[in-house]
Amino acid sequence: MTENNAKTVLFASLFAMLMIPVGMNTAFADHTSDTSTWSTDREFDIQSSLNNISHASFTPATDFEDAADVWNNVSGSWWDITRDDSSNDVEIGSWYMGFHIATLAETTYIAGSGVMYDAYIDFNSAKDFRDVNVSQGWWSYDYETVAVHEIGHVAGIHDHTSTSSSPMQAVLATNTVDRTLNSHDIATIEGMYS
Amino acid sequence: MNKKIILPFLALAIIPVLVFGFSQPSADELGKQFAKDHQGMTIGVHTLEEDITEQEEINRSSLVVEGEILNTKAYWINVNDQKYPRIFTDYTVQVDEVIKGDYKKIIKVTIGGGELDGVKTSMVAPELAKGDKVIMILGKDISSPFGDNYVPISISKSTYVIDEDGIAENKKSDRSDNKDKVKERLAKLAES
Repeated sequence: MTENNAKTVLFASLFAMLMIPVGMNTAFADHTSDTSTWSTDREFDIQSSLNNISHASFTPATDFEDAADVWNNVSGSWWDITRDDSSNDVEIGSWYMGFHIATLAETTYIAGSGVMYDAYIDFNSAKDFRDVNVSQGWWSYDYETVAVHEIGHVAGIHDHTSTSSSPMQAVLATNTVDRTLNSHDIATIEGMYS
Repeated sequence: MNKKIILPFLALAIIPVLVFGFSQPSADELGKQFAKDHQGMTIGVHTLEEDITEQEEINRSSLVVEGEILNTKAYWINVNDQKYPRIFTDYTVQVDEVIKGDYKKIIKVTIGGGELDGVKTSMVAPELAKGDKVIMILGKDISSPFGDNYVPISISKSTYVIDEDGIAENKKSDRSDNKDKVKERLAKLAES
């Protein structure tokens, strides 16, 4: 090894040392208000933890794509969200929140100054998610209905609706399929992204 | 340059990487960085819940109490190595009356969300502060990140905040009532 090569190895090692901690955090521009629409299309990134939810009657990742298409297919909205597991964009995962608590899933969002900045979805892996068109149980919940609901929040819809037959209601009953947007949901997303 | 010169340099470069470079920053370190990067931004959490009745909340609960918030402590937690750490808040509650379950003088209740390092996470849970009088429908699951602490069965509906007039306010407005009537109702549900 030459002296130059040795210097290269040394600097590369030191550079790696500096970059490991830096790479774990991302710097963000400051924003001061919350109007919550994206400025561009998004990609979602399926985390391995999503497989921790029950999936005897469905495939979590592909059914999530179907749920995304419910929003993507609104013709009057330009905003789309599509799957790219290497994107590190909108992460979709799960964690064990507890079997007795009522939470099925939650969407966390970061917003400000006219844009949605980031969002991620967590399912409660303690719950019995299924495709309830295929299989039903005592405390089963339709996975794709939940996914449609959460993607609505990712899109920037921050209110739950009180209108019937909408996946954007605040609660979901057992073995209930409600994957189709109603006219209120469609008007909302079109108003945001026309 | 020969090996005798190169090896010490390599050791100096690699050993710190092995010792420090691969260690994960703590949730608190990640949280402080997150807070620094997100000052002034809105961080919100939307929760989709099961459509369960108050009877079912009581059935799932192991403890239903009236009490007073003695103390609150927010902290950062990184569940499941997620993209960002999140804020949990522990509430120390002095129990004044037990409606269901075994009496304990002091309990700890953990609720997701809170305010820390200049960042506030908005949740559907009612905002609680030291001195608040509450009625809570609680459960415990030691396998969860909440550990041995209690959590409300429904984050939006299982907490009543009692106002100065003795009204137990609930986010589901048709549940709000005089606190004695609420306790009586919950006690009946616990018996059935």
